[in-house]
Amino acid sequence: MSMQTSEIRERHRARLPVFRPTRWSRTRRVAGPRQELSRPTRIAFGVSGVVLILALWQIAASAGLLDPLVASSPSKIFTAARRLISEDILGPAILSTAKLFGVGFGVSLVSGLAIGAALGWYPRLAAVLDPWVSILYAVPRIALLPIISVWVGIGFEAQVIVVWLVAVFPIVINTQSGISTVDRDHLQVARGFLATDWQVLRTVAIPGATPAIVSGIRQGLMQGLIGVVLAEYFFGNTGIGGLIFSAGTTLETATAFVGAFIFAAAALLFSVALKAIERRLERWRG
Amino acid sequence: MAGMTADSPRQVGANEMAGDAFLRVAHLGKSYRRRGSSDGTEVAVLQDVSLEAKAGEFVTVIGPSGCGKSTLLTCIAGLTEVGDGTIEVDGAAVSGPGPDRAVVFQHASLLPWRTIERNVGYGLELRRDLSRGEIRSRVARMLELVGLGEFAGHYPHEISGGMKQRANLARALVVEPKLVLMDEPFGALDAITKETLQDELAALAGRMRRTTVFITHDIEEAVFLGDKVVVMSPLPGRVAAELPVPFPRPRRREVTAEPEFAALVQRLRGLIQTAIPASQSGEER
Repeated sequence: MSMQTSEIRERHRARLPVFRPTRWSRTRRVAGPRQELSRPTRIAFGVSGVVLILALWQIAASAGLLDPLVASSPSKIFTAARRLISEDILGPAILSTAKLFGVGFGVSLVSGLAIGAALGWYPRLAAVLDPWVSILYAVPRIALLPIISVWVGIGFEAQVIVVWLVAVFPIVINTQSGISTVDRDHLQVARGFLATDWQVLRTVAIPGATPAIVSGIRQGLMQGLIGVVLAEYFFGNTGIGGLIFSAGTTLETATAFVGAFIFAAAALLFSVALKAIERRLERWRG
Repeated sequence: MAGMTADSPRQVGANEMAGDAFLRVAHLGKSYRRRGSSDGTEVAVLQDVSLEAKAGEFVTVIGPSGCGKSTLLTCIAGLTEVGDGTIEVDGAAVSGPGPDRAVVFQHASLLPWRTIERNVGYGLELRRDLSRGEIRSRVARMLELVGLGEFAGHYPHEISGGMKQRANLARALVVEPKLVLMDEPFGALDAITKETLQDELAALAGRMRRTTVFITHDIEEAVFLGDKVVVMSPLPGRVAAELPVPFPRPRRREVTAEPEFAALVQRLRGLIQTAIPASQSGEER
């Protein structure tokens, strides 16, 4: 019996909608017992949730239910943000952080993809380097910060190294695992058509590894943000991270929150952008 | 065994090989190291397999599972290294994959991130000697031929198993190989789709006249499609018999209703039964 007919029979038994295989995918996900929300609806609900929490926070603060020193409030944070902008502190801080993140993550992305692809493609290289990757990944990399400052001081370079150290590993590991798990059948098809190694990499290994690579980049981005904050706290107190750190030490809670919100916004932005890229790259999954 | 009466299948030996063969497999042997064996004991998968195909001939190879049919095919394709013996295609010895041969595997193995059109054009694309426009037009013609014209822009997950197998076929044929190698391409399809594809392949093969080796474990399929049927026996795989199929090609489904067809199928069934060692015969029905 073919897979289709048996699948259709099973769906009948389970009272699930039956998809005819011609136009629709056989692997297409079936709607769950609860209705699925459309994208605009989901976004609307998500945004109203955020607005609701901010409103409750403001009300609680205004009513004196919260200690203003500890909890601050949305309005105070807003005022602090305006002050930081007018004093020309926020703009340069964002630029400084963006530069650190851009350079640090950029280096991580390029080196991570290259190292990961090389490790995934050459098993002997992987056998030599895998222990090192595992050790470096397992070490709490904050522990390395003093060593980095001994080597390269506490300037921009040291900061970039910190970002790289935390962001590169998820990219390396995911890329490696994606590239190394080439589908055997696909490989045989390519070999049958006399594909060169480079063609196999380009037409089979990399497309097949794309979901893993994208997930590595997602983790790398988030780790990179942590790395930026870490670098700015420890080395030079610069940028938004430095702003949060010094605000914290002087009990300027509202200013610290401004910084935290900026990081949150960046994380959200990356997440949304990556989702969009993912959707484009994986149209074929349906 | 066969070889007793005048019209019984002839035993094939290399000395009988005619000079006009397009594909010539002579005394092919292949064994694999037994898994986990440290002393190097080996399992023979193929032993002294000889067969040949004339240009344009459609040879079907049939045998129970485990008789090394697929290994024979990947050897001819150059994807598996040959142990003993030689394989020649059009006078040249096979030492690896070549542009003169194309394989249709049992699993369609389409690249899921490519549309049907780009999957079918994959082999041409890898050759890098054709322009994009040329590839497109050749692929379009081939898609029409296998009835997938409307589905050029679909992704593999959007089409049925039968359609995937058509695309698989098209991907092999579009590179215009001199020798087409098919490894149970319809083995995983339901009976109705299978018959449709057999009819279409019969028509297509009749029109294109490509030399084809078609592996199957379906006796009727072997007779319906082949100019001759090669029967293999298992453990290790050997050629047990070779039978010519007298019906002219291209054939239509009606041929299967003829008594001669049924007789041939019956005879092959008998040959396969005798080819299976007694210890194994319970496994195959």
